[in-house]
Amino acid sequence: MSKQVVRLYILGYTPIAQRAIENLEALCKQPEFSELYDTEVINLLDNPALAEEEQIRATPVLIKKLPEPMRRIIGDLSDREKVLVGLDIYQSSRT
Amino acid sequence: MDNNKITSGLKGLDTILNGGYPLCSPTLIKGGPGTGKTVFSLSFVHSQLQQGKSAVIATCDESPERLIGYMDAFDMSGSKHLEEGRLLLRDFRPNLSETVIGEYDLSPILLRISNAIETCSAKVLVIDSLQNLLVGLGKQEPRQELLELFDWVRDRGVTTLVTMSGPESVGQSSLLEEYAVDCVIHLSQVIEHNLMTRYLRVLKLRGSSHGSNNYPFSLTNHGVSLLPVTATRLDKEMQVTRVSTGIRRIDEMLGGDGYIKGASLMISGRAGSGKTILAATMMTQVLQQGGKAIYVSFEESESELKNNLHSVDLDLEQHTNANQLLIHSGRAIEKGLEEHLISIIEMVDRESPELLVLDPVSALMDMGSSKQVKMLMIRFISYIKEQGTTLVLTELLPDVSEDFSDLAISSLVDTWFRLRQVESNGELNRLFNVVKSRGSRTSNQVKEFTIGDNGISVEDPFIGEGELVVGSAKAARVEQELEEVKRKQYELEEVEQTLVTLEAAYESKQKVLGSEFENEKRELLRRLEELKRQAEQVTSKRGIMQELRS
Repeated sequence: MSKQVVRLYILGYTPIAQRAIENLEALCKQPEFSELYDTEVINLLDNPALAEEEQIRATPVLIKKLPEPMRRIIGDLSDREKVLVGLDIYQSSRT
Repeated sequence: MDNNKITSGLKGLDTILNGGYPLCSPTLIKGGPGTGKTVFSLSFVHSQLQQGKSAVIATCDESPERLIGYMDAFDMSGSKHLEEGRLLLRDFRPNLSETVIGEYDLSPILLRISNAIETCSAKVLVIDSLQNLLVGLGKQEPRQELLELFDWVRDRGVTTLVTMSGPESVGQSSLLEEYAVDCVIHLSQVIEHNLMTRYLRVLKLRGSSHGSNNYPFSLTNHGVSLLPVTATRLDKEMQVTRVSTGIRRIDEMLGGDGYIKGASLMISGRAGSGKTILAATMMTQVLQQGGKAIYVSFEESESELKNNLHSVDLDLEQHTNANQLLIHSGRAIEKGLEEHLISIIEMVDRESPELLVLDPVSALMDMGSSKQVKMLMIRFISYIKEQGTTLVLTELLPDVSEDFSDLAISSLVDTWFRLRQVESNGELNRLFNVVKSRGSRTSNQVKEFTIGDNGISVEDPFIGEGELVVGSAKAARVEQELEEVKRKQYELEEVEQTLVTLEAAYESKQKVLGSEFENEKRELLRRLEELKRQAEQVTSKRGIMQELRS
């Protein structure tokens, strides 16, 4: 099964963006995440049109389009558990 | 107009704001759901597009397609401008699949908006609405990034309109109101007597004076309509052209040539006193001279009105067919007083008629506290006057009123007719008088007013022995008087006859008396002669005797 791509959109390398990138990298070390997803970081400063296309209101934002349903997580991803729940990797019932 | 202002696209609002929204500055429009914030912003966008400018709308509540739909529905040609590329819509609706974990910033909003503005070199930006821009993003405090956005648009000379929901969020948005924007407009809905009225108030306008009242407005098919009459001035020059009422006797009572064009007239009377017919007669006179008129009826439907007036030989059909006459009928309770007046003003603005009839205006009077109603009517009457339109109001007096007006607006009108009904000898008769008429030498006479198949006629009543008599009693009185004269004539003749007879009698008596006198005189003379003769006989006898003795 080919892996899906989740993308992290940032707007410039701000301290919050840096933190989000670090947290995402840490997430990639989790097997339950890395087995399913590849990641990509996109700086909207390089491609402003994407902000419009994806209708982004806040950065950093992590967008998972596939598999359905689409999930968007705004913020520096500082709570890894929540991120995994947010991406439907963990069932939220699991504590 | 102020150079630092930009038209809001709404005539009334421009007047209130002394020219419009502050140019190149953010303006905040606050108001609860359904108060019309979106329509205000769309009107602004539309007016700017009309002037050849470009605009960006950041929509956070509704889809871009629906906004374009609204613009098209309000006659603001949204899709046309969209195709021309002068209108850009950006979808900022909250995405329900979003969750927030940790810190974030809102710079993408600034990025997207500035991109859009640069794409079409827009001079106008609308954000509708601010609180929804932030929905789902945790606390709804206006954040640093938004204040940056306002500074950014200010620097680039983009006039910005931001909407925000209701008074509930006043506390949260105080930073925004006090610091970020230069103008704050508050929209509200007030329910009175189960009727909803919309109000607008300007809370702040930096560097400029502005109207400070609660201004009523309404949402119509043509977008927002404000009652600009709140800002009417009293500097209207008086035109003195006279217009006939269509009834010669009334014209005479007004000094000869009728009422002054553009005046406001009021006809007061109880039910059935002929107000509608008098108003319609005056209107028909204007229509026959080729003028336009609007008839607003709160009692009768268009066809009822036409039929009823047809029976007194007033044909409105031909004038409505010729687009000279617009009959608008509706129940007073359908909407609030302000909305009524606004919709009437809209019609007047659209049609610029020479004459406007409100029949009866008293139907609108029960719709608020009398003070409030009077204030609105003052504004309304002066607005209509400013347009040079003659205003004919009818006032329905309750039966208990004893024909006295209870409407506080009688002092506002220029000319006031009063119709009264008097009951006598089992019939009701109509009386007419001119209570006042500014700028005219008016008659103080009370006239009799009759309605026949050929319309109205005004006649002198019968005045005699200190009372005024009309109707069949008047006819009876006239008859009675004729009778009286006849009787006197007869008596006179009789007396003359008697005199002649008396004279004749005297003469004949005199004759009789004369002849009696003659007879008696003759008799007495005869006796006298006889006595003389007898005396002579006695004397002569005595002489004989003496001769004998001697």
